Amino acid sequence: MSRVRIEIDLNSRDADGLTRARIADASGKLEPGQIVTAFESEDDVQALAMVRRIDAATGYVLLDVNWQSMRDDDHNSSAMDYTMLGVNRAMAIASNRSMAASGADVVSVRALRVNVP
Amino acid sequence: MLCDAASIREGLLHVLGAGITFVIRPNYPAPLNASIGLLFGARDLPEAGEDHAFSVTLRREDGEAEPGEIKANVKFQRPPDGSRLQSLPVALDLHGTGLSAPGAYEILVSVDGHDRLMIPFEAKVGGEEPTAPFE
Repeated sequence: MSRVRIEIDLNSRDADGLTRARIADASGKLEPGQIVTAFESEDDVQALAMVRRIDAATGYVLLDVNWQSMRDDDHNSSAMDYTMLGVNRAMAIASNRSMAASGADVVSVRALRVNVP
Repeated sequence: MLCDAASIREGLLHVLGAGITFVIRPNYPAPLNASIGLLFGARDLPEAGEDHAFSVTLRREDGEAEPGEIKANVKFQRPPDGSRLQSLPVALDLHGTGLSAPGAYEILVSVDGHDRLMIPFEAKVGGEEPTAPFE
């Protein structure tokens, strides 16, 4: 999976804590709500960031940077960093009563886990 | 349904790991890292087909919308073999969609301006595990 990379200035933040970056400094198309990789070449670091607003008139985008995810920049937009992605799971409690009524064993699932990756 | 992956092949909806009720991320904003699989059904369509507008919106349970919305126009048409029934599978890749903070979320699916489906899920901070044991 390829994630768009965009250069930021670590010191450029507005009153809401959002980081302003130039749309032209993005490696691909930006959409509101999109997760991107924000990087600063001077300190050679990168972090996940969420696109909050895009102002095509001024050419700037406002990013909500996940500062806790900041780490050394590996300069690879296609690499999946599983330690940053977490897991997807489901909680389910179900009993198949109709099977029991027809003479089959009761099928009971207390917890069903779905993991990614 | 919210799932790990969804795709369409030969008119069929293929899903992996469907039924996600919560996601765990170490910190936020974080990627949703999931897909949506939808299956619309139609019966006795007119030969010329029908256009429908559908939208998918991610919002927090308190009603605050997350930035971004997916909008599309879909057209149902009567199958060339004259079948009365038709299904239209839709697979949406939301792996790169952002969750701004932990909490309760809803994915709202609307068709022609009417809310048709709501998929609830929770976003948690890493380390939280399901409490119910396997049997």
